[in-house]
Amino acid sequence: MSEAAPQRNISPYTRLVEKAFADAIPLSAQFELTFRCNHLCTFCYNAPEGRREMTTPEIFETLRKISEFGVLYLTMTGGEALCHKDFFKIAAEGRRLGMALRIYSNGYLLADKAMVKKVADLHPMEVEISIHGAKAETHDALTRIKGSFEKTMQGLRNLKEAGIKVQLKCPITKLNQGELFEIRGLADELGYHMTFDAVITPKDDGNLDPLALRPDDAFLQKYWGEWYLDLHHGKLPPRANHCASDGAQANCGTGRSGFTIDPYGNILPCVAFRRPVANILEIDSLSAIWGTSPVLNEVRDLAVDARKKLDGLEAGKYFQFCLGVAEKQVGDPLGIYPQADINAKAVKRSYELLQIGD
Amino acid sequence: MDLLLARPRRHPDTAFRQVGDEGGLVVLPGRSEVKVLNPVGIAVFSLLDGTRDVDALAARIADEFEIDLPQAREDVIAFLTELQREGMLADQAAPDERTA
Repeated sequence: MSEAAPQRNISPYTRLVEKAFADAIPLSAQFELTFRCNHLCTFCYNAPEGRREMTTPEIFETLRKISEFGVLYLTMTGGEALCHKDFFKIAAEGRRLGMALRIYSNGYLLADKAMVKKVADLHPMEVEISIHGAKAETHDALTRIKGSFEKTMQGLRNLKEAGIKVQLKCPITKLNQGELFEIRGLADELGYHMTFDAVITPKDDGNLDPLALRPDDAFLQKYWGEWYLDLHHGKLPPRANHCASDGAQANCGTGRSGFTIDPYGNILPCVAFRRPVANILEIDSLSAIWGTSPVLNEVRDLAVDARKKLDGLEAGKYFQFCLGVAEKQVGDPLGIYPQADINAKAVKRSYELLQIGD
Repeated sequence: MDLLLARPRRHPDTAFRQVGDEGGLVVLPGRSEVKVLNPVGIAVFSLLDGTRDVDALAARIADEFEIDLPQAREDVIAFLTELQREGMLADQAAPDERTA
């Protein structure tokens, strides 16, 4: 009863995911368990409001509602998710409810092998670890925690020893833009897949301070043009948002293929587009609001409008465009913000140099 | 496990979801693999809670998908065999080997 060979030139998995995307069936949820964190990254997008976060019983109630709604992939993040005092109880409950678990972490606490053993016992699908430099000086300067590089590297070695699938990610900043190949080298040594993110986003409250650390434009030209293929083992730069299927009507999956829950219980269309939809503790079920919420319907329409707008631009199909970043950065979710524009043009140029057409 | 004697139960580490009427996805987190099942496959998989034997599963599928019972039984056995081979079933003793 496994799926027969597809008639189109896409995998059965892609076909199912595209169907879910088109019908706005969310397969993923991102759950920010806490804004507490053991790092002080200057470019972090979190903007805690200082309010009481959900209690563990409230988090359990939230997990039940997420599961009943049919979510398959549950990402636990923060802040630093592992800083939540009941993280392992919560994660185990997510697994008990039948969801596949992804954990986002800075890796600091995973320097402790006992902690890694507890993570392994959860059988997570994947653990994603952020790394900010190839050497302690850079990494620690960005996390503003002395010794964090060594802890994270030890955590990575422990995860490797435990046989846990790990994905490494690195937000590119002015401080680490010169050592990307060395960072990729660390990933290669450990046998981990590595992704770089060339966009630093404003804080969730609209504060633009993190943008001061964004990589400079000259670097971005080189990154997309000369370095990308080498840094990604021959893989071409992406021509669309990772959360939108190829040729989709919508620019991205905000409020469509997934959603985010913040530590106060607010349901948000996605991690970047943080328009509150409702509070999960005040509704009976997610299905009661998913199809009818004016916020979600507007956000989905905006994502379609964004795709149309981008298609009208010369470098439109090369854009990785985020409605949430646009709203925070230029005050309009459909406004073209500088980083997206620079990146799209550089990616377009890269494809032209490689003589790759549509 | 003898599938013909057992009441199969999906592996506790699996995560699965039906996607509309198209079928469904099953994740084996320990292996970081996702499998795609057709509508009948995901229906059977969702029924594998350890309370039904092959005949009960086949009867449900025959009824729900309007398939002849012998054909449904044959398909269910083939599917369970595949799941067992892929490690997607929990280890379970046959009913007469279980303690009360």
